[in-house]
Amino acid sequence: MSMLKRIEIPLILYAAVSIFLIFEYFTGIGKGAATEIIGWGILLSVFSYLIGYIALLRYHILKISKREEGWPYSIIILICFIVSFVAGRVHKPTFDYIFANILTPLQISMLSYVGFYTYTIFFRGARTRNLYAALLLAVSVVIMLWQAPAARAFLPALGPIGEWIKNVPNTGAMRAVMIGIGLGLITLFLRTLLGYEKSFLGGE
Amino acid sequence: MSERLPVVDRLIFLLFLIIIAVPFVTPMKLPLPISPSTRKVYEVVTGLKPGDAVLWVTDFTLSGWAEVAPGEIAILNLILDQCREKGVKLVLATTYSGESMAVVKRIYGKYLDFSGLKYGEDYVFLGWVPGYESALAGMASDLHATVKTDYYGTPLSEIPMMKSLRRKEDFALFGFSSSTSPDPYPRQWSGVPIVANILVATVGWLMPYVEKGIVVAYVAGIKGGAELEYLMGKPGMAMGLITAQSLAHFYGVALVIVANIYYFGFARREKG
Repeated sequence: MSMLKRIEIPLILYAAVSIFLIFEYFTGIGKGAATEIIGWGILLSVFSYLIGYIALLRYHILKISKREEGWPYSIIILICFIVSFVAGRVHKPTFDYIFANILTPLQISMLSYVGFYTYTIFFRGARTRNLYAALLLAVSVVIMLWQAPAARAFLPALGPIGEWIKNVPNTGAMRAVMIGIGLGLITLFLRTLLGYEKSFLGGE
Repeated sequence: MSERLPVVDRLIFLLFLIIIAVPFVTPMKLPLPISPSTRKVYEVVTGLKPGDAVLWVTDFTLSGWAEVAPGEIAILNLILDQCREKGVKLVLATTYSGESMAVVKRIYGKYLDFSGLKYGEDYVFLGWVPGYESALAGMASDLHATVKTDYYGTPLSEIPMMKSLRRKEDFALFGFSSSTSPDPYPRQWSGVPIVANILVATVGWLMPYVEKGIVVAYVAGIKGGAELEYLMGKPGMAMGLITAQSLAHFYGVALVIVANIYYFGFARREKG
């Protein structure tokens, strides 16, 4: 058991698989084995759903048994979960009905609800208190009008201005963000490879 | 007892509701200029040659329905037109989540026109290939090793049109609809022309790939969907929504102006 608990084994597995996949990506050698490993990854991702189900059930059952604040909502969640799970496996028409007539309107309503509050923010938050706020607001207004086809038809200059904002400052900033993320991922990979990063093994 | 919203907020909500309801009660026809990115999507899809194959991945959930579904429906119907007219082959799949699978079933079952097409010869549905980016990577390198059967359980090796479609190089076009990060798709499918259907909010994320030519064209939000429907000459869901969206944007701009007039004209004077 202690052998299985040692962190060296998962670290060696991680390093071997990662280095092999990078090697295959750049050389094309071992394509079949790489595809097989990716297939294992897909299988593991399916098991993550199982872990999610167990975690959800465990959390809400404990909450109900301890009568924690808001425990009646946990009962509703559990009922919904069980009904959808069983319907999805036993009676597809019921599942489709739940999806089309309960889940779809609820999800769309949730998003629309946010839309209403966005308009309150336009009134309460969009004020030109200084130069930067004014600049941000001006760009937001241009983009908002540019996204409204009718505005572009009445003000043709909005087309090139909107395209320029999207293609130049926006793309430049996003490119910098992406390079930053890429460098961060490389750093994380190297830290994990060298054993400094142990959070995925349950460490700190 | 919960607190009531301030009068101003309630007024803003009420006006917003009225404004977006107007186009549904009284149909209005506002002009619709076509943006270059949508025109490019139309050209790329209609430029497909006989026998070309397309892999389309539908990876969005219900929260993205209003913005992504109209574009998805328009693009897929345009591709299906190419299947009917030129014998283009279409492979459909989803990799994101179980919810995106439910979205797929709703769209394919209700909004797409498969008439005149034969399953297995003109189009194939792979179903949900779990794993998201891992699944995209697997399908790019060896489709048959990653997905053994189609949605209905038929082995891919027994489906006529799938015999020659084994890896990304066998496809003339790869497309995706996403309501989250568009990164994984160009990352795994670069080398094949890519068409995207995404949220307006994620266009910035996609632009570096567009600039490099990895993503050749994209449709963004309801606006993109409406433009595509207009180019196709088939008004649908997006054209029905676009007028409401335009009016809502005008309302937003009006609120910003009113807020600033109020702030500079009254609030600041009162403070002083």
